[in-house]
Amino acid sequence: MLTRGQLFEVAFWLAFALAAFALTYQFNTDIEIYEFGAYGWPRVVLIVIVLAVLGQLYHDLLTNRRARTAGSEAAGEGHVRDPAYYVRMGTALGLPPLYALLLQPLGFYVLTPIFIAAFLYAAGERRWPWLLGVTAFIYVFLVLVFARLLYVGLPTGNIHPFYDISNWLLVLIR
Amino acid sequence: MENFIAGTLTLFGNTTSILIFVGGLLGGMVFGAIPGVSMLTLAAILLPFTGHLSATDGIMLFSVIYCAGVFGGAITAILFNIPGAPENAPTAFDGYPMTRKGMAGKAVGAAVLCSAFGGTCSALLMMSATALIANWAISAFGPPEIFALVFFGLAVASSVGAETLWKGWLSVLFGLMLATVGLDPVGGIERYDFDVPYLLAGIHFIPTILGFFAVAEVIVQMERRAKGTYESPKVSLDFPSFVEFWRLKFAVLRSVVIGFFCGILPGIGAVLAAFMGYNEAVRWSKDPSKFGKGELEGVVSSETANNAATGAAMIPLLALGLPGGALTAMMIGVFQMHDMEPGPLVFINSGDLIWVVFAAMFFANLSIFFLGWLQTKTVVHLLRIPFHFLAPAILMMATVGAYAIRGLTVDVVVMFIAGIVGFFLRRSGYSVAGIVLGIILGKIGEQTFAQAMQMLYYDPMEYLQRPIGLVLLIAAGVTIVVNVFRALRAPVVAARQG
Repeated sequence: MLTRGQLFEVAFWLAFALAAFALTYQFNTDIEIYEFGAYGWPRVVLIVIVLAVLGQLYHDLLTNRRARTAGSEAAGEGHVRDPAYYVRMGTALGLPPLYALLLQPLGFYVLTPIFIAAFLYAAGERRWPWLLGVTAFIYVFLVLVFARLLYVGLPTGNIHPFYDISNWLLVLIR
Repeated sequence: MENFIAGTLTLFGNTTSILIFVGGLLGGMVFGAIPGVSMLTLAAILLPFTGHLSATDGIMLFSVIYCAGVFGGAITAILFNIPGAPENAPTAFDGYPMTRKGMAGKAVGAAVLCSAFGGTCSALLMMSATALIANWAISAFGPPEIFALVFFGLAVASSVGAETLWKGWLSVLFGLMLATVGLDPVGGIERYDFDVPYLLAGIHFIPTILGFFAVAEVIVQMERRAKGTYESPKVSLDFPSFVEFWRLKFAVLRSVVIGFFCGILPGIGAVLAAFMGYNEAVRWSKDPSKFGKGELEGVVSSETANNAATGAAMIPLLALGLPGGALTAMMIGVFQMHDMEPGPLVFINSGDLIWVVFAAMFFANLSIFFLGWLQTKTVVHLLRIPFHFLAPAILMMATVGAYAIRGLTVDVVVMFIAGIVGFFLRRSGYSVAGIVLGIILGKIGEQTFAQAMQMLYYDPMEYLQRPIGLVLLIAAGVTIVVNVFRALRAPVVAARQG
């Protein structure tokens, strides 16, 4: 028998291979100068993925049987943790993509200090002088190195008033 | 020898050349260490200004940036698991675990010594036989051989860094699938782009590398803090001892050969050199399970190989006018700005220029040793900063690095998605290194496979006429069969013993 995690992995890979294989029919037009077309390579890779999943399945089944006969529980199942763990991990996993999604509309210059402070807070920093000091240090360092010294064109946002604030800051920096 | 002395005298004979040499060296090291903003960024910024320099100084500047830039990325790879460039990714596999074990000084020291050694050997080989080696490499290595080399690299990579061989293969294959997104390399047909214009150009490997390494690492450390199991790395300034290096002499020499060989091949260069150097170290090891957990040989093999590729990459450029990568392509631009064309005639018409470049690369590699030694004694102290202060700085540096490549916020989104996916894959025993290698080699592999099939009239038996390709394919086949056999037997043997 497989554990829930192992079952999920097998199902994920098979679903991935199946979906990606089905999608190859969207580009199975022939190329005049190349016999295998644009679909040949990905199809072979997907078939090998299925073979590797079967290999992993074989490994998991034999390993689990051995573990069961030895009387031990499969690892990684049924852990109950402190709710604070889930809050912290939720923040660590959720905050960066949120930052990435807001980067275009709000701009780097406005969003970054907020993100740094929020991330530090989520990481457990509660001392306000450190929170503000570290945020200011990282922000000023990044802006000076990338915006002033290297002239990297970072996003300025496209929503009022963030766009105006970013441009005002840029004029100030440069 | 007299040519080399003349080149050295010209290089250090005037203040401008010395300043350009030192500037290129420091600039290459700094830019190489900043993820995303690589030595290529510096080279691109400087390219228009080289028109104001003499041809000798312009070419010399680029060659020095190349040597220093390949080394620079090793420092952040070792200290923070952020490879400055793709060629430093394998350095992180064992370099970062060494840092976690309190051996950062040793890892950085090994990277410094091996980069300098690999680069110097490469420069010496380059000086001794450029034209000869270039002619051999170009005639003996066509797309069939390059595909066979890539296939061999993938076969070996699948056995590195994952919990089981099957997960290693799944990692590499997942990377290969990610590399198929965008236009296909033969007919330009759209694949897996879901009508999103961004995906037409494919998934760029810099954001994915930053995601899989830097972002995933930050999340892993955040999880350790949340669980209360986080331990800050101890700071050590020990340099590797002579005895430790002597023990690794074969690994170093093997990596010099691999690095030099890969460096000559157009389009392959330092990235494959570093991965192949690392993979071969694993393959030849008596105990491959040590790798990925802080094995000095891993850092040594990867850093020797990637720097050994730098001198070699200059061979097809100078002797035949064929650039092997982006930086050497920019060097052609510098030649053209001075109404010159690299190729066999350069050796006749501008021999003095060539020898200044050779001397500059030789001394740049020697300088890496001394500057790197200083770096070992200084940058390691960054580890004294508490991780929760470093984490947002790492994320922000990675963000700027991912964005700066193409000026697209989608690259930042891709980076963070890769980071989260990488976090879960690492937890489940997959190899993020395998995924990255799959992405990097996927495009080269598919393109050279298509070219090879066209050249060989779709008849694999034609490989019998191409001994180098045949040997590489057989080696790949044997590696796969042996690994699969071991993987199938492992649970059975364990059950018998248990």
